[in-house]
Amino acid sequence: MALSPNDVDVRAQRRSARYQEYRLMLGAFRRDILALISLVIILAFVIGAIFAPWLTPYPDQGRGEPNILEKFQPPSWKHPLGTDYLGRDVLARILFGGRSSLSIGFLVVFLAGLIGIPLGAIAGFYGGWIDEVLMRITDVFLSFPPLLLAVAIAAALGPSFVNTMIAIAVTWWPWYARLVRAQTLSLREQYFIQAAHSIGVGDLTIILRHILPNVLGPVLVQGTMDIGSAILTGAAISFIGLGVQPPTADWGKMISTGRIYFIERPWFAGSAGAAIFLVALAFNLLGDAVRDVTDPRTRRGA
Amino acid sequence: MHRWTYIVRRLILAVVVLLSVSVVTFFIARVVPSDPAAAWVGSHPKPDQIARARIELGLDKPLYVQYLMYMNKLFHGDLGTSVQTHHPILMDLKTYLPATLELVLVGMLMAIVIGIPLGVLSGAKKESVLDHVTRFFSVAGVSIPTFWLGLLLQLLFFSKLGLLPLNGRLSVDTTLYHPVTQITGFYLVDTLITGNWFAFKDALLHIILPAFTLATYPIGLTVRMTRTSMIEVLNQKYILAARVAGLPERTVLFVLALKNAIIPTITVLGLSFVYSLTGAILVEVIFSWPGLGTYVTNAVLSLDFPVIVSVTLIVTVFYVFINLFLDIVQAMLDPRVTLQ
Repeated sequence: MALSPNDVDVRAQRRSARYQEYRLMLGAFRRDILALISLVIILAFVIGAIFAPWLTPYPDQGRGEPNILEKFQPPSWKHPLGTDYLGRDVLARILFGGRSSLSIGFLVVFLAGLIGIPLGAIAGFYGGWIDEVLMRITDVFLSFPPLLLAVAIAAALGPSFVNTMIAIAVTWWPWYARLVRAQTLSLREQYFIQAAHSIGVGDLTIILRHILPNVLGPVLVQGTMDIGSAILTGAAISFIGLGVQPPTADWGKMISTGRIYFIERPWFAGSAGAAIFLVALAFNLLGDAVRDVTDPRTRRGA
Repeated sequence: MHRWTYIVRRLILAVVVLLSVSVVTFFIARVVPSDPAAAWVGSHPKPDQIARARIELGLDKPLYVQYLMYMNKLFHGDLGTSVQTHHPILMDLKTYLPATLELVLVGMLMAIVIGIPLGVLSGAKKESVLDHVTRFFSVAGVSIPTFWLGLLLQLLFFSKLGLLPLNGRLSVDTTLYHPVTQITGFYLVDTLITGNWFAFKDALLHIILPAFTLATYPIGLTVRMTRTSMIEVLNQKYILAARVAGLPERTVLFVLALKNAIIPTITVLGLSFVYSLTGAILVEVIFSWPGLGTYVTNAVLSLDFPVIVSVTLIVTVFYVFINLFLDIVQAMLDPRVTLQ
């Protein structure tokens, strides 16, 4: 049977539609690969940090024990990333340093969520003056340059791991409060919430059982994307001299102590920087992927 | 809402925010530390110093009186005395602030000159090789610790290639034989005004690496934002019409499309500017740049608390004003803003 011009047209359309679909799949696949690699990198660092004492032959050096006889050794089989200015194995320091640097990232986001989510839900749910007051407070916190506010608070509290975490979280929670408030505002008007109201369900129950589960998705996406920046901020604060104090290993601190030797002996500050970069990059890529999956506007790779 | 009503409202809001900011810095200085007087006089305080600080800060008075005393001093330009330099902080700021602003402005210039064209091309040729390379670098640009990037650039351009100086604002030779006459405190401007070409070239060479280090994050943001809004704008009918009319692609992209795509980019540039003010802290340490960052980092190391709090306050005031300025610019450029 001869093909009519019409048929050809339809076939061409189908082919082009299929081509579009392949392209989309290819794009999604490539994104998945990137997300997968990112996840592997993150897991590798997390596992490295948790099992640090068993993964390195030099756990004491990882904890801070000096080993002066072997200082400034370039990378070798014995010390794959070399040794630092006190002769400590750099790989061991990186593994142990992950404990403070990574946990800062996770804990800051967790703590910021713990403050921001309830406040945002309350502001959005009740509206009125409560909303006004809470949102003006977030405005004030957001009008500070984040890093500097964290530095000032950490300096006021005194240099330590916990204080750094608190200082960063204090600058971070307003973002979550705003996000949750916006979500709550749109949920409040929906029928299932109004229905709950009408049968006399209490406010607290509505917030806990109906609002929070529905806002958690976007918050988790934002949280994933934020862990990378929280790690960077934590590293910056300990680079400045606040945060974890020696001899405890920390990536930011490793750069600040290693930087004066960097031109001649780049391996120890260099490795710490590479660790921060890799982890932050992995979290950013993973965050992008998670957002693309959940946000229909960007799903087509726009 | 009328445009002017919007601007006036925005101004009033800025005043309210500034007042609240002063309350927060007051709290950080006087309430958060376990012993504010001891914190105020540095790392090795003598008992009589602490006693004097207690009176000076009015710690025996109720909190609101302390706050009023604090505000009274602020309005008279009294930010306290640096524990470290023994200078009034306001005087120190006058020497350090121009250095930081010069660094930040050159960095912003780089972000505009590099970021916008890359974003336009990457948005116009979506999924091309250029697009992928640009996108990778823009993600990398927001993930890289600036202080580490600074070290890497020093290693490459100073140590390996020998092209650019390691750190500082000027080389020793220049400060000795071609000293810069201080007028604005911006060396690039001062040397130009006085025709000190030798020092101008030296200052220019010194600022390239730190400014570029500082610019990586803004470049990444600018590229991403310009790209996204270009893609959106290029899908609109007036672009199609322009192309059908046979206008050259360069005009379509850089004049017709960019004009509408640039509005979100301006916001991002403003955010980058304020980001850079604090990012400069880290970059200045790496490049021994004598600005606010070096000042505040030294203050952190010697627990010079008055300096830390004052710099936080001053930079925040900048931050608030830039945001105000941006909102007004946006209201002028985009009539839709005032409708909210």
